[in-house]
Amino acid sequence: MMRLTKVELRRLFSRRLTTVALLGALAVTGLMLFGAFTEAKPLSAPEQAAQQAQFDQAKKDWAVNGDQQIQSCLDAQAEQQKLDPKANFGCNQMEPNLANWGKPVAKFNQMMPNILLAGSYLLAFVAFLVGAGFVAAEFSSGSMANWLTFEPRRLRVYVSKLGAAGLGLIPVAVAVLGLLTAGSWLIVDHLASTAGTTAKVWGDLALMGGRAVALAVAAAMAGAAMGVLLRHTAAVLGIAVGYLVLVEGVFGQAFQGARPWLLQLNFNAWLQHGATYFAQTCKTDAQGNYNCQGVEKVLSFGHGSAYLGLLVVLTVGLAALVFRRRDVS
Amino acid sequence: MTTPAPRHLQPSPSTSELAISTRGLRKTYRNRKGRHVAVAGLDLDVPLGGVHGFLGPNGSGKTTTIRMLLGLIRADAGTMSIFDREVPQHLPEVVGRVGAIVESPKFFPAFSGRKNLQLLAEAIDCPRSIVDQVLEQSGLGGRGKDKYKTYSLGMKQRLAIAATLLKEPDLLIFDEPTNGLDPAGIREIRNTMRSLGEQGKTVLVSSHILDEVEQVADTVSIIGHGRLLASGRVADVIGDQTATSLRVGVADPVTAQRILTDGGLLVRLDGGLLVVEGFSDGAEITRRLAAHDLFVNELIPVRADLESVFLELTADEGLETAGAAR
Ligand SMILES: Nc1ncnc2c1ncn2[C@@H]1O[C@H](COP(=O)(O)OP(=O)(O)OP(=O)(O)O)[C@@H](O)[C@H]1O
Ligand SMILES: [Mg+2]
Repeated sequence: MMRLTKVELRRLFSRRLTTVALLGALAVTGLMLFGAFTEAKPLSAPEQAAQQAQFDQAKKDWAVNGDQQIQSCLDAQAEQQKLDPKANFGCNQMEPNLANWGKPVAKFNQMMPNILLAGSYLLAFVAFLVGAGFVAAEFSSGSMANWLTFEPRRLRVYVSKLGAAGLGLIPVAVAVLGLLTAGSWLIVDHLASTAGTTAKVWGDLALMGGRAVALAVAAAMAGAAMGVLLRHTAAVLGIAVGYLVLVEGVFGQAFQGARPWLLQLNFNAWLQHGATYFAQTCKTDAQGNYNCQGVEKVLSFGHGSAYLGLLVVLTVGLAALVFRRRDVS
Repeated sequence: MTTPAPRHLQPSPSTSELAISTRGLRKTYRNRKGRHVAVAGLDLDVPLGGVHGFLGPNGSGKTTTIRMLLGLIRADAGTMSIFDREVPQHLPEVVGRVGAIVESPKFFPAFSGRKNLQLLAEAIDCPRSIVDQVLEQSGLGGRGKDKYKTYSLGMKQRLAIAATLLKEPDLLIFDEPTNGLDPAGIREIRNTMRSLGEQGKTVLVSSHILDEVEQVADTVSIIGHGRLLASGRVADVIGDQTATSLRVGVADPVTAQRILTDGGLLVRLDGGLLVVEGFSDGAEITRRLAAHDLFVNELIPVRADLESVFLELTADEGLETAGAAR
């Protein structure tokens, strides 16, 4: 069993698709670091001067027209308060403030969770693709039959293939996430602020990274299972992309209520230990007016992990059953 | 539909002398167009040691049978055993002694031949050094580092044979191994099979070409429409089934035909040559014609081909109607 898994690991890393996918992941990692760089980069001296000039101009305008602007704001607010007594237009905050000009200083502890989240999406996709191609290629090339004449115990073969796909992705995921974290730290430390990165922040980041690695492993195994079911890499990819566009995209937009059952939100809930989302709740009020309100809702970590776990277990289990019984030719 | 009893030309060997045995083996393929019986109650016995030909026309169920033996597809009914172990239940115990090529060889196209073999060798835990050894043995030594997809058909076959030798098997199953090979390649594979047989290994070679099997096999089974039609020693099965005939060239074929027909032979004219059916004694023909001052200038023994053997067998067994009713 261990031996078979070792052989499969060797095969996994000899495959061109694996190499290409890893290079692709590396390239995207580079792009993400570039993104971090542009976010952390302070304004250059000419940009800053331009901002200062704009601010000075606004300040001058304010000296002339400020009172009038406040007055018209208050009038509009009073008008609105007839309908809604709680209306607040923030008329006392209209004076130009230099802090709103220019660019706030980037903070590592605020940037990093988002970068990790994006990195995990990337890893999950790469893992799924690599896992699917790894197994599907064997069916489409016909070499599975040959392999089974050397090891006819189907369940072992299946477990070794999924195991290799999952295990093989661990170092890849660790490397990509490590690169992202180290790279972002260096960039932000150099250009902006890493203050406030306490031990607790690092702990949270480490936990999130761990969950991202687990997600990549699960995605690789789910991909491999889909490869067993569909037998062609292109078919797996087609279904995956079709699902993402139609179900997660179109359907998800049309039926907001379905969002807790879509992958993306569950990914977020798993990775960020709970995720918030906005849902419209509409009702008819006492006056018979129909109105809708965006309400912030939380999808719990438990929901995310249970749901994703169930999906993986179902896919992997179904593929195991199919593979055990299938005629291979 | 009753299964006619196949003609066993030698007494059934006891099980311990068998490398492969199947009883009542059945496989029905189901697809959109309906059901298709590929193997219909096959009783196949392959004796231990030597080369056993597995003959049948296209679509008679040879590959299907081999796949079932190797656990690649499920049988609908019947029992199979390899080296007295029931398969597929006990296949893992015997698979290490069985090397097989099913239909065209299939490996990972983007890996080199050598890499493909290394992966297989590692999977069954045999020393890596054996890989170069079998590559050399199968005449692929120089091309081992090239990608499999760049191989010619003959090289693919060689690699497949090399792969079966990784296990040092006692039973080799070759499904139409000479498909697509040139005469030199065919002869080489034939020699490989012969020498394996002489080493005491059992070789099961399927083919739809009678000649090929006849040259290499010690024993043979003939199947048609998924069931056994005949089995036994090659000479017995093929020799008995169809009397060979002679093609005779003489200056005056019409007179010669009259003379031979008067002598009680079945003779017909075929494009200037006489065909003497069911008679293979060339000397006798020469003698009779010479007695009438007719001299033979050409005398070609006509070998029975699989088609005629097969047609005769199916006619005997009344199987053609069964086949048509399918
Ligand atoms: N996967 C499949 N699905 C449906 N029918 C099949 C399948 N494989 C084989 N068959 C049918 O089963 C029958 C037996 O096929 P099989 O490949 O065993 O024949 P064969 O004796 O090996 O022929 P050949 O000499 O051409 O290799 C054929 O009629 C074939 O069409
Ligand atoms: Mg065949």
